[in-house]
Amino acid sequence: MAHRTFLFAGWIRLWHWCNLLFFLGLTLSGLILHFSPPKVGILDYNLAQRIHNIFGVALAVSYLFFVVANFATGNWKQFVPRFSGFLGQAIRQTRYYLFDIFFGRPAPFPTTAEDHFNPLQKLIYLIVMYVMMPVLIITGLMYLWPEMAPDRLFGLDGLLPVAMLHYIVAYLLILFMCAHVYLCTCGSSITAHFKAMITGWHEE
Amino acid sequence: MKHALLAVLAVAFLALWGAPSPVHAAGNDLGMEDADQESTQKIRQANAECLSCHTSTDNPQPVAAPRASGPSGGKTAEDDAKDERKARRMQLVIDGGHYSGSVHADMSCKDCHGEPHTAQSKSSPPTACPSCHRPQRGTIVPEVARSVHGKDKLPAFTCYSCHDPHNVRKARSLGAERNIAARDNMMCRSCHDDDARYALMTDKPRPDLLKAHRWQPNPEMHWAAVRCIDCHTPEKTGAQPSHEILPKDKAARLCVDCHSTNASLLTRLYRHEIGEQRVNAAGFINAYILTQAYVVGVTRNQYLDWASLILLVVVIGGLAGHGLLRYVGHLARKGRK
Repeated sequence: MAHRTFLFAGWIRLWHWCNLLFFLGLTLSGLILHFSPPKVGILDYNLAQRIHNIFGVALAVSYLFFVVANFATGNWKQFVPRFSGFLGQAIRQTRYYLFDIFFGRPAPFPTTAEDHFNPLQKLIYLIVMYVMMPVLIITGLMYLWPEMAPDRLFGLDGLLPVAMLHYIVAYLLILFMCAHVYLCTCGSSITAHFKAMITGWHEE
Repeated sequence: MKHALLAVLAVAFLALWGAPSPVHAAGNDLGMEDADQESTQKIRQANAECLSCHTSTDNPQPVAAPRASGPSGGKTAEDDAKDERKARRMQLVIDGGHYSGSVHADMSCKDCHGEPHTAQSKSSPPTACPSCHRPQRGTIVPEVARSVHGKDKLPAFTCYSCHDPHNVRKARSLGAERNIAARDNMMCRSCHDDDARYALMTDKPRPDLLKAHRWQPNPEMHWAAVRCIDCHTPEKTGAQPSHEILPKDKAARLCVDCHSTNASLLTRLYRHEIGEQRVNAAGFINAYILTQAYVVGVTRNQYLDWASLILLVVVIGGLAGHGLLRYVGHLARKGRK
């Protein structure tokens, strides 16, 4: 019988899958808005901008929910790395990802009810959720209501830095999502982490 | 009626195209000789005499603006008559400042208005625009006939409804494209955003502009940046935009028509910039638009796009390689057991 630990409360799972839905919709529509290709299936530019605006606001609301619920439940502690000895921990985790994992060696920081994430995960999630997501959402809202953006900046339209920042952060988050999905196959089985985010139970 | 229609067509051409001054552009367009400096001076002096009475800096009322005959609101018949007289007087007053900057500034008032203060001058309309703008007639007449204004056969609709001949300026002289959009859109909005003036043209109810453009994100921002005619006329080669104003069901509604690197705007509002470098040193495509606006899909940065692609290949390649090594390790361990 595999060892089971309950990790993810219902609200986290609900938020996670909503976040996935919004992010996928925003990625697809965002790429169409940026690269303006000819119609992709039924998705043309007009529909893409509607989807992007609606899903963008939905992402902002779900993010707000995440932040409030995270602090209300104390789940925020999961995202804070232990600063003492962090460098050594990060090196051990990196060594695991780049070397030990190929030899089937155990992870240096196994998942527990107290510590859901390894030190590298904590740092990356902290940056993603508390730096990149706010930047993405604020610049997105400025895009949606451009009167919030500076009118002019260095002789150019003030929306330019907002647009550039929005694109760069969004693109980095898309790359993060690719890595995130891949690393979720690195559990005790390929599907273990995916199941955990559906049932809430982590299996070793 | 025919006379009036011809007048509509020719003056309409003038402002929309930002047509050259009839005097300075000389015979190539209008069959007129270049006016020398001396005769220009004389014309200006003669015009100054007319304008000494026919201008008002206090009441810069465009001469072409029709007056609304709205409800009297408790006024007596005498008040109404006074208002009517005032309105008529106002139609004889132009903004001198506007006129001096107009492409028609070096034409004599008499060229269009004939000999003033005679019985005939009061009863006959000014000389029709095509008398000078004859070469453009062949294009503009059919375009206007096909336009919403032509199809509705609006009796009061003339060139002057859109184009004030005393305030016609070259588009380039207006500077930024936003200024061109503001000037040109005011032609449309002076009726389409004004119940009283709209009612002078037609009995139809005036559609609410914001409601009609609700499908568009931030309509007011679009109107400040581009011209109504950029969507409401068919695309046309050459410098002169079409006078065929399209109804809403035929107007451009595909965002991608403008929001792409080969946007139709480049042959319309931004056609003056078309000779500029398409990609600047920093890698921005259609960079000259950036001084006006960042336009999603139009002004993207190609270096950033290349960096995005390289990064994507590195990440996906890295993850795929990692996955492959894991699989190989898994097979090796399985073989050992």
